[in-house]
Amino acid sequence: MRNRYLFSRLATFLLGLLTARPAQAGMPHVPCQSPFVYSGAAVNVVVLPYKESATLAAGNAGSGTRLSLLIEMDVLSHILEYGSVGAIQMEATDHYDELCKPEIVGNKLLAKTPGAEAVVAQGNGLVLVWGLIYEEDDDLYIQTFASFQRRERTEDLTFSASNAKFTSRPSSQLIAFAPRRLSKKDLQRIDNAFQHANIIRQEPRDDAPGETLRGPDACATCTQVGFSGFWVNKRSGEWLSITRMNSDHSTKTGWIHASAGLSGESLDRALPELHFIEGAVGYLRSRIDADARSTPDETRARATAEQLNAFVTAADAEQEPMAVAVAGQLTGIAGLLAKKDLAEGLAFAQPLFEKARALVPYNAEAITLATLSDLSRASLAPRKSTELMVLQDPRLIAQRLAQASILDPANAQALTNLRNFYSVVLRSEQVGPAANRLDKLDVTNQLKEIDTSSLQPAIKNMNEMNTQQWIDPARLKADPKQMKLDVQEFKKDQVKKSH
Amino acid sequence: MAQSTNRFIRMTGFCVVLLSLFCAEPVRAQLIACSMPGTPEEFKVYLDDVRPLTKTVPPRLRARLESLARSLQENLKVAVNGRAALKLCDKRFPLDVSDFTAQVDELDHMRVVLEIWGALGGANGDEGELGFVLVPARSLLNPVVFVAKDDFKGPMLELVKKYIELGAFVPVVLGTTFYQNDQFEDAISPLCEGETKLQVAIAKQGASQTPEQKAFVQHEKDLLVHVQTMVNVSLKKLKDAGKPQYKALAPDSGGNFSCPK
Repeated sequence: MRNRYLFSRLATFLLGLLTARPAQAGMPHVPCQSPFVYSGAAVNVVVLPYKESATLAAGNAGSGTRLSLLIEMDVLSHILEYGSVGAIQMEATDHYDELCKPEIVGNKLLAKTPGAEAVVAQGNGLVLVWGLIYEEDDDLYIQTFASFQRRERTEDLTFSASNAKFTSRPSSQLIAFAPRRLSKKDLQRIDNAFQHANIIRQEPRDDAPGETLRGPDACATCTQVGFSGFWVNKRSGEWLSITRMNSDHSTKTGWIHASAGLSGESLDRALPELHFIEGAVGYLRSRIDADARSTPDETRARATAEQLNAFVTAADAEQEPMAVAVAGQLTGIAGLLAKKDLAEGLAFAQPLFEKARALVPYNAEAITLATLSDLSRASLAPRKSTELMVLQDPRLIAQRLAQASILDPANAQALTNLRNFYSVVLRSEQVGPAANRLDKLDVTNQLKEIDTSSLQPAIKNMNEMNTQQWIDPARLKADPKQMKLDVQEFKKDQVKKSH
Repeated sequence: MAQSTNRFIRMTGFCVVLLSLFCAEPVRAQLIACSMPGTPEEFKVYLDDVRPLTKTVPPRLRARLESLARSLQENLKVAVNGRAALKLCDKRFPLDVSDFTAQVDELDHMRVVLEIWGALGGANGDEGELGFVLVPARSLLNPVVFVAKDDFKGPMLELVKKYIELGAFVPVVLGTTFYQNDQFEDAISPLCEGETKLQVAIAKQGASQTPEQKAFVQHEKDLLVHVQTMVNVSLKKLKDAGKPQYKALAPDSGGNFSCPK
């Protein structure tokens, strides 16, 4: 059934390719101005050409395109197991600065502005990757930026405690990674290894005829422009069916042996941010599954955790604290959703959220995720005979939720979280030192004051600015009509289904 | 031109430490207007030219400078993140840091919160400078122009990292602007972000510093104290105003408020 579905999606996709953009017929090279994604893929990773920030000597040009192609290949090789993923490399034209900016390409792919050859389907994920590259002698200096989101979906999560609801989301969805150094020799070695390791075969057999996955589009220093992409159609044991799209719009479908060293020599060691990007794909996949009321696959959640942990281990927490913090949050959320039991999921996620909070103590969402996951966990603890929830040190919890609200004054939800916590306090048993408890009369008054207060943020209309700048999706105001994932309700559904 | 640019290189080191009053030349050419002026309402970060000043700058270091300028531009885009607009001011460049003394009020009026320029010069063409005008800090600090000096022959990766860290000034100036406009609620978040980032930048400074680098770090430390004071004052005022979320905050043993730790 699933294969038939995938086949039909593939057929639709191929038909779309045949019929799309007749004006482009006969134009073999499509630049950034007409970006493309596999609309049928749950998550697409789109790698923009790395901008060469300066050229020291003639003949050095081309590394930006070559690097983005290798990144696309490397990421693809590590996200195959998530299934229904696509990877696309955009290529530059002479007008790079204008056409290949993330805000131009990203907004087209998310259907916010016209001009894309194919757009991300509603609810599906997009990871946009771009960067800078500078060559000097035998070295390359690389800095990567990445943004992840789902089209017309918020990354908000709803937590519960004692019949009250609370909302939070990851701290950021736009990450500037630390700059790294890579030798040109290493890049060449990785390139060679890829070409040898990644063979697309006609049949799912190691002795079937095949050709290198990169195929005729391998274009390191050529002057061609266009796009190339890969889409994972399905998995059959150790074999994966892949469709490659060439820059002339021709396609090739074949099989890749996933256990045969697909990734070859990996770029990830030199550029650990690729682990983050791969993990972000896993995170988005788990959110898409959860929205469809399907429990994310635990194997995939483990892969997500491994990839994000690999990033955290190799990252420079001082130079890229937000990246490390978000990696922990995504690991926590993916694990929380994949674990069958809510308490087990919260026990897994909460320490990760707390580490993230310590890294970016100024970030409201980092405080909220850490605090709410702890509160939600406490609400699951066995009740005493009074049947009331037991709250340890409620004053400290209130202080944290107040801090989150203070750090994000334009966010009504942050103040609602504090309000709802006070409502929980009124029907809970407080424990801990007297100084850390709250007076219920004060709490009642606080509740009244919050209910009559209003928000007057100074920074407005960020959503409107998003077509001119690529603003962190986590900072955009979510449409209240958008679906929010209620973690407790989702888990209840899963339990019902399993029975 | 060459004479005035050499003078710029010689003089800026002193200007970092001392108020530009002592260094100002009597006659200055005005800075040309930014080629991307923007709207009157938006907060702006001006990125001026980052340019070599002398013919002695070797091609290798010119390429480094060009690369660092690009890097700064991309990282500033992320740092402002919708809170301000990054404006690339083509051909705008100070002949002397004191150019900003006359312009700082005008910049403030235009809601420019931060202006950055870069230069490379010196006898061997390896003396790099990155200058920052922290416009709203003019009532707090003297001077409001920070100049970071670097030997451009050093490891490139370290240079890039250092340039990126200087993005810490973005939240600091945004928070300071809100604070000065009595928008205390909006000031807290950028000030706390700036505080954390400044602390990291200060802690990472190596022990072997030139006098100019030491002066720069001291300037950052002074700024950090001001940031912490602004946070304390803002939170006190907001708590006194009685908004419910501020009532939950507790001061430290000295009666002061601070950013979450």
